[in-house]
Amino acid sequence: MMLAAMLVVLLVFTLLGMEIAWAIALACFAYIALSQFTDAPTSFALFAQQMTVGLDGFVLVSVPLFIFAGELMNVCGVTQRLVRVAAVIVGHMHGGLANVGVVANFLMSGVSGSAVADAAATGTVLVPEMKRRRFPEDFSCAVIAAAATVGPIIPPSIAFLLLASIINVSVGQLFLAGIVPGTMMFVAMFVVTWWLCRRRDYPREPKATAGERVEAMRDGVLALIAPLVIVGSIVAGIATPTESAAIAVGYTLFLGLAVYRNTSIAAVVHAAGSAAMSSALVMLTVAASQIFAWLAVQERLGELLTAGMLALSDNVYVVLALVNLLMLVLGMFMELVPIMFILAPIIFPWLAGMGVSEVQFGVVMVLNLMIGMITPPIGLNLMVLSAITGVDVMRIFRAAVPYVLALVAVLLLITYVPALTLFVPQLFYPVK
Amino acid sequence: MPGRSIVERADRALEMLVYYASALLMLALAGVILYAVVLRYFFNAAPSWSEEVPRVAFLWVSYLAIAVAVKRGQSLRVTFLLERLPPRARIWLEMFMHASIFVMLGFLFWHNIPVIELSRGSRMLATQWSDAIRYVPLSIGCVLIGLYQVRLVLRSLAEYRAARGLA
Repeated sequence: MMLAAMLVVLLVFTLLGMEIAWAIALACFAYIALSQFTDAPTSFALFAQQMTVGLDGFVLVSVPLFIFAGELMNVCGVTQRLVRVAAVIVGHMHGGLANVGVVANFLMSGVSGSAVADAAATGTVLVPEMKRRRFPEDFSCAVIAAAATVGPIIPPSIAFLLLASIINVSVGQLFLAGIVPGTMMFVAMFVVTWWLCRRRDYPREPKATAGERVEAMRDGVLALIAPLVIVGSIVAGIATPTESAAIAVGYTLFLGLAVYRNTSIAAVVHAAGSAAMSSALVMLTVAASQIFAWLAVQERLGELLTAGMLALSDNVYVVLALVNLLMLVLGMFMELVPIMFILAPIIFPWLAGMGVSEVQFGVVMVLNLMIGMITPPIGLNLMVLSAITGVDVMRIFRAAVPYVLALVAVLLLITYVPALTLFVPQLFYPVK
Repeated sequence: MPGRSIVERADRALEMLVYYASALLMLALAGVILYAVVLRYFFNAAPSWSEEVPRVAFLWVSYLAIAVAVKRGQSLRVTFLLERLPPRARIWLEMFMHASIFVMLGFLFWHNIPVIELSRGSRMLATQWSDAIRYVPLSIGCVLIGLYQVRLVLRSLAEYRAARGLA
């Protein structure tokens, strides 16, 4: 009864247009208020305490720092350099600027860990250019929205950092496990774009000369090696994930202030302010979701969910298909953070008991939720591109359908072929 | 600035104060962690406070910056249902949502007071700062967000009245 009330409050406030973090916090508040009329009331002080304790972890400190690094990439000219590198490599092929967007997002994903930030950064730079070249605007938005979903799969990834803190798995293992699936996503989206643009005869860029290529690579080489610095420092055991996030900030600042010399102190402070606000909203969702998950576990949501699924089948392959379906549907209606915090503590131990690797399923879960970012009604990447360009969310989604199908194909592959995710981490760690 | 009331200037000053405090805390957060990495790897002298200080700064930056984000309306909301409602129903629903958040913030503020009181006596291990420093940001955040919720209500009402006046 109490669980139902909590879920109804969450659903109603979300549908009414309330920011998801507040909707989750209010659902918890409603539960605790109602519990005062039962024999076992939950303390409001506990609610207040958990809003602080839920954020008091060193790993979580890396989240605002990676968001800050993403902001600095735009301010310091790293984004523009990566777009230029992508343009000289693939601009002349079928796909033109659309595939420049796919490649640029792939390159950026090695520094930034957020799909929304990547979509906003590359969308702002590339969509107006694509419109000028007579690409349909819904297609332009769809390509960028879909291409940015690779960000949280390729390391570093804010989603993997949060997931590691929930299920107590090594961040380094999750980061390495994302490399092959992220590359598969990139290849799938590149091929889809190439095929669509060839069929529809969309424009291509003039082929860059050898001199232009060398110049773009020389100018972008320090931006291109940033992922090696960040991920390498974690895998080599030089830095913790939080320290590597600070190294990402320091390295990007070094590029902007000392190498490119295009960044003012005021711009850095402004980037820090923007990052603080973006990460604060994520953190409010994290704090509220943890309380929601705790209350849901107390109300045996996990048992209800697992019993419901096991009633359908106890075959691990069928169960994996059902869990994927559940997350795809939930991903259409909720953001990544609350779903991870609410579902992960329930689903991971259950699947681990069935012999599914937590590292592999971590990547599967994040990819599911990335597909949710380009499916309505709550597809954050669609909404970001819509906010930048004014194109209707549903129009962008219709243009993004081929990408959704391609990503679902990758999802099925990594769900049923564990080696695709576990091969790379097994080179460095004893991963189960 | 000419033409601006004292309330508007105070509102702007408060926003700027909280915004720059969040930005500087974010820079400090990155700086402190980098400093600790450099000390550990180049001087083999890892400071004992290298985890505690960033954690405290992170809590402060989070709750201060949420307030500014709320004021600037920096969240992505799904408003397709709200937009289909008539203006009067919409304004009542907006009021209801703001009031719900306001009441919850009131409860959080009130019930965080005993948490702060309880933690005042204990000390953090490395810095020896009072543990209360971790719980105070929530209360400050509640006050600031509450203020901005009131402001959002007043603005929604003013927009509604202006729209009715035009109609």
